[in-house]
Amino acid sequence: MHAVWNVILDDDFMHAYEHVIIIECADGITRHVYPQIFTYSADYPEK
Amino acid sequence: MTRETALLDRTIGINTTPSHLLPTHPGSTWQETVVRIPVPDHQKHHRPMDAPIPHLEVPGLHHRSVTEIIKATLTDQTAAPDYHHLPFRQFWKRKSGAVESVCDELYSSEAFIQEHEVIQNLPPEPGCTLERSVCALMLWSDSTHLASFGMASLWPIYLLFGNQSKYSRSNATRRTCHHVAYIPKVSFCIFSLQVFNLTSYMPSAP
Repeated sequence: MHAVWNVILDDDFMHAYEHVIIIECADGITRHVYPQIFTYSADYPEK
Repeated sequence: MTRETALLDRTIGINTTPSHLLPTHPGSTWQETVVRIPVPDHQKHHRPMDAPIPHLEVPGLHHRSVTEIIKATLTDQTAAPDYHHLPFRQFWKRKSGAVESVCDELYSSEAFIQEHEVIQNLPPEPGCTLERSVCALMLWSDSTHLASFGMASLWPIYLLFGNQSKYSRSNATRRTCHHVAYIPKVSFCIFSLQVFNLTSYMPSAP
């Protein structure tokens, strides 16, 4: 499971997590977007 | 039947979902990766001359870029009216005059408000006047059985946005739940055999 997260939280995401992403949102306003993980609930595969 | 087929077409996204978001599309943003898990082999691996740590390779992890999902959601016109960039507090005034704070959504929670204040107080980039917005990621994962009979199952990882109301997040037709990955399953027999081949040790029972 940790190896899977290592793949998903790739360099692209980690860069966005540390240095934000600039996105022109659907309402036409360009924002600095700070991705933050608020909740994580998971049932781990049986060991 | 015709109606069901039309519903299916709509659900899988013919004419509605950008085709690159579908896992089967050649230009899709889905990728397949081999997961490499380091396996203990009762040997030391401190010094440069030591043998490398053996890795068990598990193929078949299908996943998407989380940043792509964030970009797609924030630029999506249909999701925009329900997306909260700014947090707020809600209060309820009782008839007796007592005021109570209302706790319901993630974007009106103390945790979100605190995080919003933290990023507003960060030192600005020189010359930058852009708004700053917290993107609250909510991840979850659990095994999903696909049928009432048989063993067909998937192990997905989902992503939802705390900036959207829980009422739209719990509504399947609003498509607020994004699939990030499908985790491959490895049977314990195959796992044991592969670990034994790599290390000459059997792993302990599950």
